[in-house]
Amino acid sequence: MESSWVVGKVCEIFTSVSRIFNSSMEQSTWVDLPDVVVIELFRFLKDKDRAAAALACKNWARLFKTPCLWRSRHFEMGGYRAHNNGSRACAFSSLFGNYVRYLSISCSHPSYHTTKIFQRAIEDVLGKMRTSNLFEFELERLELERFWKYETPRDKLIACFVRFLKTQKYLKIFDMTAAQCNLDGGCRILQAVGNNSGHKVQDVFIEDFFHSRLAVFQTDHYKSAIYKFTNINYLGINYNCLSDEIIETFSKTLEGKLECMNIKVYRNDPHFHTISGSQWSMLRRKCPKLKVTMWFESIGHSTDIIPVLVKEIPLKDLHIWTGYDDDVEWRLAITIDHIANSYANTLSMLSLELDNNHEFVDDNVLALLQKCKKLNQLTLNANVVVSTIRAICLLRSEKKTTLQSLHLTACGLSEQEWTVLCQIKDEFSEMIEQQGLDYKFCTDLLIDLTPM
Amino acid sequence: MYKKIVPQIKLETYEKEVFEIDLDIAKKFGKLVPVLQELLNDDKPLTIKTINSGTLKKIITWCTYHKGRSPPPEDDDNRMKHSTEEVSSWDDKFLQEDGQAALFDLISAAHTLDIDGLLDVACKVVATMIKGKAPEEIRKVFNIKNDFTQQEEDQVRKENDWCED
Repeated sequence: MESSWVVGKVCEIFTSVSRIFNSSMEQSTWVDLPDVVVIELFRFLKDKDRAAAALACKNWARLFKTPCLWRSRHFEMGGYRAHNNGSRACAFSSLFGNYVRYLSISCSHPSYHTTKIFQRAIEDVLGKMRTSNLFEFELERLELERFWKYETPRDKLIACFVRFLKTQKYLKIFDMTAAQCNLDGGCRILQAVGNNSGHKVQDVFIEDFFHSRLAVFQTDHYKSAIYKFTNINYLGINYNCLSDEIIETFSKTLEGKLECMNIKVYRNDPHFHTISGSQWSMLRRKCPKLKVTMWFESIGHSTDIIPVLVKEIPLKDLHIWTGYDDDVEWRLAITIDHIANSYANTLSMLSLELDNNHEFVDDNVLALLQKCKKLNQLTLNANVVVSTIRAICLLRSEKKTTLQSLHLTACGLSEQEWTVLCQIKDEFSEMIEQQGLDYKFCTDLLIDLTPM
Repeated sequence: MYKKIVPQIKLETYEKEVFEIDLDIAKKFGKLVPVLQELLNDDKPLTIKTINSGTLKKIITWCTYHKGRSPPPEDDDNRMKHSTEEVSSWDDKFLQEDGQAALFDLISAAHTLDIDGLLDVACKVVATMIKGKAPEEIRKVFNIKNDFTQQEEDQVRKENDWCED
């Protein structure tokens, strides 16, 4: 026992000694690393360092070109260096464009000048990548309505997307959130994706893909395009791109596949259409795993919100932001009651940012908390009195609600209300800490909330 | 008093030193997993000539340290793994403390034995040694002989100039 340890120790010393000899004898051990290991090493390097390493020796230069190192690529093509960024993206695409599987492009801070440069660069880049087999195509916030004042580059850009997307047959993720396309251009893009990758694409992000004023759901060209997508698992979309007919078709084309819908509803949406409960319940039957998230933006009338929120929607998350509009006086208490009655068994997250709402909603919120048994996140920016916060905490301590996270924004508090809020926090701090609750109260009064 | 018997396997290194390794550590050696049962039954050690004792000792220490710790979440293999996750200070010190030659041996061995997580973290450490260096400096650090002709070097440089900041 003892002796073998000594032998081991001696060996160890021997090894370290021999290593000193070896390292001076064998001049380039690192070159002998197996290729796979060098490739692994390259993975952790940024472009610039990879290029420097490629200049170390011929073998490393060869390994620099390994396809698996270039599967994912983000091009930032906008900004004040738009020209330079564009030509670098083109140079990259000539070399490695075909290796890319996950492509994301952004064009931040566009202006008339940069949109033109961007359009030319993107035409060049996508032209070079036509034989790639992308899994993901992401180009968020193109905002064609907003920044692209001139029609020629805009039309050319859409034409080049269409040409490119026609070559892609393996897309799994398609993301053109906030592209704000016109009806014709947007439909052509969707048609190109649907025709070629429609049976593959799982995640479709087309929130604000069209402009919100448009009645997209009535357009035959749009319908025929969206029906080509037969494998959707996640769909981010606007309410103006959905209708009874479309939901009915989804329950056939996406049966068993659709699991998540993220739906945006805007004030500018054409409000003469709502989707009926019977279509939702059909979709729910055909896609039992479906969970829906809805975002209402700049809408403050219960008469606008309630018809959209039919009880058959499997609603999990709901966000309502009314925005500001001084001309109208909003009353949303009845909306809160409606939510509590409709989604008692499904709602898990609720965000109420009821600016400009002139009615107290205390009782409604408290009733909702006790009804919605699955609610675990509440964000509240609304008219409530301070004592309601105590009531919420009390409900939690009595286990009458399962609320894990409460984010509260309080504005215009008086000094006295402030003191009360601090007391509430102190009173329940033990419960909040012990149960690991995320209860944050954000106020506009700058007094330190933490106890001394 | 009796000791709990921990199943062990035996490995023999380049220096012919025999190590007894606990089964739950040996399970981390990807290459050995298919033959573990045989090794357990067999009293003769398995000889791995390409690995020296110092390296094997380090590997055992590393595996023991990381035993209770959960491995970092699996990346999607096709995605690029940039060095976003920091190497823990323990790993950093442990991997660098014996100098470069030892680190080289460790990387080779981690590759040979297919040790989950070790190759990753070791490559990250080596990557930090490359970061920000010019090609000439990289050659010096890693003892790499420049086998380019001037013309070839210029060609590669020109081809990759899109990588510059």
